[in-house]
Amino acid sequence: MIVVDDAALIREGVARLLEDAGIEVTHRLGDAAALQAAVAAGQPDVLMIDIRMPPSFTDEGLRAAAAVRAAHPEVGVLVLSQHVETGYAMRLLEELPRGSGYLLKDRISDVAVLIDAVHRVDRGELVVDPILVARMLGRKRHEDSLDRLSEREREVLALLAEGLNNEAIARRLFISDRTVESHVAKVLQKLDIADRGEGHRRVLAVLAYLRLTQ
Amino acid sequence: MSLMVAGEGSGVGPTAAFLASGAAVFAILVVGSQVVQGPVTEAPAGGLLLSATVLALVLATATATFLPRGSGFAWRPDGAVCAGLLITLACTVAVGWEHGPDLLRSVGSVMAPITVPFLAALVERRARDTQRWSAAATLVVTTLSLTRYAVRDPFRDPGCWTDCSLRGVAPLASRDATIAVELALGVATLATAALALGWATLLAVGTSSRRSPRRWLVLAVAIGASTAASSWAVASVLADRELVARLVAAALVQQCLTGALVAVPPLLALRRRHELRSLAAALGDQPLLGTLEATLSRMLGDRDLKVAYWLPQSGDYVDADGERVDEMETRPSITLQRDGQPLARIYVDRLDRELEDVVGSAARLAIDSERLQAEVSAQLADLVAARRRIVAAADDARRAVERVIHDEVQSELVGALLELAQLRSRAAASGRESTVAEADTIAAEVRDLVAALREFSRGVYPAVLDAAGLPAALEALADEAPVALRLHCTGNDSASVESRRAAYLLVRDAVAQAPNRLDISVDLADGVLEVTIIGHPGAVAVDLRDRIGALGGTISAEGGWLRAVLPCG
Repeated sequence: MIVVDDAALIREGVARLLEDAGIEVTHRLGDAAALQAAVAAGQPDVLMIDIRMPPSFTDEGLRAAAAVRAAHPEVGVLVLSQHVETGYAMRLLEELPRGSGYLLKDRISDVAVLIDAVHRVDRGELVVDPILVARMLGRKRHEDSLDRLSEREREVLALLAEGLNNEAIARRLFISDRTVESHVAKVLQKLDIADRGEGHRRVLAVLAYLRLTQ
Repeated sequence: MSLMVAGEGSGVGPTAAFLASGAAVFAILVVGSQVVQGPVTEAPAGGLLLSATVLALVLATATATFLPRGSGFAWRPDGAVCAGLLITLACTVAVGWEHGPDLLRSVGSVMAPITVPFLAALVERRARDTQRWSAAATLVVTTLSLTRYAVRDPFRDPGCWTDCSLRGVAPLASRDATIAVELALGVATLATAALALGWATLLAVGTSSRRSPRRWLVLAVAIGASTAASSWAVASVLADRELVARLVAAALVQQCLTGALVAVPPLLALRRRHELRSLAAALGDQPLLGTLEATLSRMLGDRDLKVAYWLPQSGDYVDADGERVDEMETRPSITLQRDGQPLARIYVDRLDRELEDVVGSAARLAIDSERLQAEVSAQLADLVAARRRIVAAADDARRAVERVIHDEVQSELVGALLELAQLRSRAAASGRESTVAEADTIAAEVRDLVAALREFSRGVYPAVLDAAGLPAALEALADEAPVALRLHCTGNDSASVESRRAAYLLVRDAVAQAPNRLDISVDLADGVLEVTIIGHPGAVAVDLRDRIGALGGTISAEGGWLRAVLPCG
C-alpha cells in the first residue's frame, strides 16, 4: 500500500495500524508530488490518500487519485477526508466507479473498518462512509419515496449505499443471505431502481437514486 | 528691438505682431509710391519713410487699444504708452505743418524718428531680455536723427513736402552726408521694424517646438521687412525704378499675406470666445453629470480635456465619476478658485489663460453642482470599496479559522484516535479487557468531538464551496436541510468566488428559516449570477444584504419569491 497524508501524525499512525494488521506499506508521502513515481516503483494494490493537501488545500487528493488510476487502472483508491459533504464522494465515484472508497478520517481509527475497507477496495468494490449515506438518506424530499420502505428495508438500503454486497449485509444484520436477497429485491422494486445484480453498478444506481430524488 | 511685452503667455504677441506688421505694410506702401513716382536719383525719401512708419505705429497701437476685449489682444496700452503715442503723433504733425513755427517743426523733425524706438521701448519695458536691444536702437536712431538734422540741406531734398520751408537749420549742410545719413537712418528704422516683426511673431505663435511650421511664418515676416528695407536701399543706389517697383510690390504682397496670417490667432480667439459664451449659456441649464467636461472638450476642440473637482475633505481631485485623478497627470491645467479655495482643475493640451476668464461664473455654478455629485460619487466608491474589504477580511479570517481547525485540531484528534486504536489492539492482544473498554469509551468521545468540530468548521467557512463549486455546496445544504430543497443549477461554475459565496450564504440563510420546501434555482449568464428562491419567508439578514450590496448586487423579495442578482465581474 501507499499512504499519502500531509499530517505526519495520521500518516504514520495509519501506516502502523496497517502494518500491525499485516499489510505492507511501501511508501508514506506528505503530498502528491512524487506519487506517480512511488506507484510505479511500489506497485501497490491500494492507495490511501488524504483529499485536502498542499499546495491549494482543496481537492488535491481526488485529482492525484484520478491521475494514478489513469496510469494504473488496477490500483484501488481509498480517499480519506474530513469533509462530510457528499459532493466529494460523488465526484470520486463518478471519476472512479470501481475499486474506490471515501471514508471520514475518524473512521480509520476503527481497525476492523479500516482493514475491511482496504480489502473491499482492493477487490474492486465501492466503499462509502456510513455517515455520508446517513446524510443522503436523511435528506428531506418533497414526496419521500423512502417512506414506503420498512425499517429493515431502510437498513438494507443504507448498507447497499455503503457499498456492501449481499454477503456482507447478511453478516452485518445477522440474517441469512436469502433474506437479504429478498429485502434487496423489495427495496429496488419499491424505489423503482433497475436491478443490476451485485457489485459496483448496483451501488452506483442506489446512490444516484438517493442523489437525484428531491 | 522688439515691440512687445515678452512677459507671461503668448497673449502679447498678436498685439505686437499686429503693430509691427501694420507699420511695415504702411511703410512699404508709402516708400513704394514715392520711389515709383518721384525722382530717386537726387535723394532718398527718408523723411517720408519715417513719417509713414510713425503714423502706422500710432494707428496700429490705437487700433489695438480700442479692439474689444478677448479678441486675442491681451496687452492693453497703459498711460505711459498713450502719452508716448500722443507725443509721436504731435511730432509727425509738427513735421508736416508747412507754415508752422520753425522751432516746433525742427524739434518735430528730430524727434519723429526717435519716437519709433522710444515707443517700442515703452511697450516692451517689462521684458528684460529686449531692453538691451531697444536701448541700442534708441541710441542709434537718436544719433542718426541728430546727425541728419545737422547735415541736411532742405533745398536739395526732392521730396521736401514735409520740411522744405525750414530755414537755417543745417549748420553742416552736405548733400553726400545727407544721402548717407538718410540711407543709414532708413536702414536702421526698417531693420528695427524687421527685428520687431520677428520677435513679435515669435511670441505670437508661441514657438514651443523648433520644428513648428509657425517658424516659417516668422521667417517670412522677417524676410518681408528685410525686402522692404533692401528695396528702398536698392532704389537709392541703382535708381532703377522698375526693378524697385517690382521689389516693392513683391514685398507688399508678401507682407500683406504675413499680416493676414498673423491676424489668424486673434480671429480664432474671437470665434472661440463666442463659443465659450454659448457654453456659458448652455451651462446655465441644469447640467447632467460629466456634461461640463464633454461640452468644454467639444467647444475647445480638445478631445483629452479633463475636468477634475476638488474634494476639500480628502484633499484630492476626482473626475465626474468620483475616481481620483492620476497624480502623474502632467498636462497644463487651469485651477478655478473661489474665495481662495480651489473648485476644480481643467487639464488641457495647451494652456490658455483666457479660458478661465471666459468659463466665467456660469461654469463655476455648473462646476459646483458637478463637484458635489463627483464628491458623492467618490464617497460612494470609497464606501463600496470599504464594504468589499470588510466582507473579504471577515471571509479571510473565517477561512483561516477553518483551516486551523481542519489542519491542526482535527488532525491532532484523529492522530490521537489512531494512537488509541493501537493501544486498544495491544490491550486486546494481552487480554486486558478493562483497558479495551476504556479505550473504546475514550475513542467514542473523541469521535463525537471530531464530528462536532466538523460541523462547527463547516459553519465557520464552507470549504466545499471553494473546492467543489456552488452546485456541490448547495447539494450538501440540501442533504442536511430541515426542509426539502429542489435545486436547479445552470451555467458553468465560473462565477467569482465572492458571488458564489454570497449565493451560498443566501441559500443557507433561506434554508435556516424556511418553514416549508424551497425551490432554488441558480443561473449564471452574461457575467451575472442570479439566485431565485421560491418559498422564501422574505426576511434577509442584514449582513447578507451588506455582502450582496458590497458586490454591487441587488436583492428583491415579493410574495414568497426572493431574487438576488450578483455581478461576477
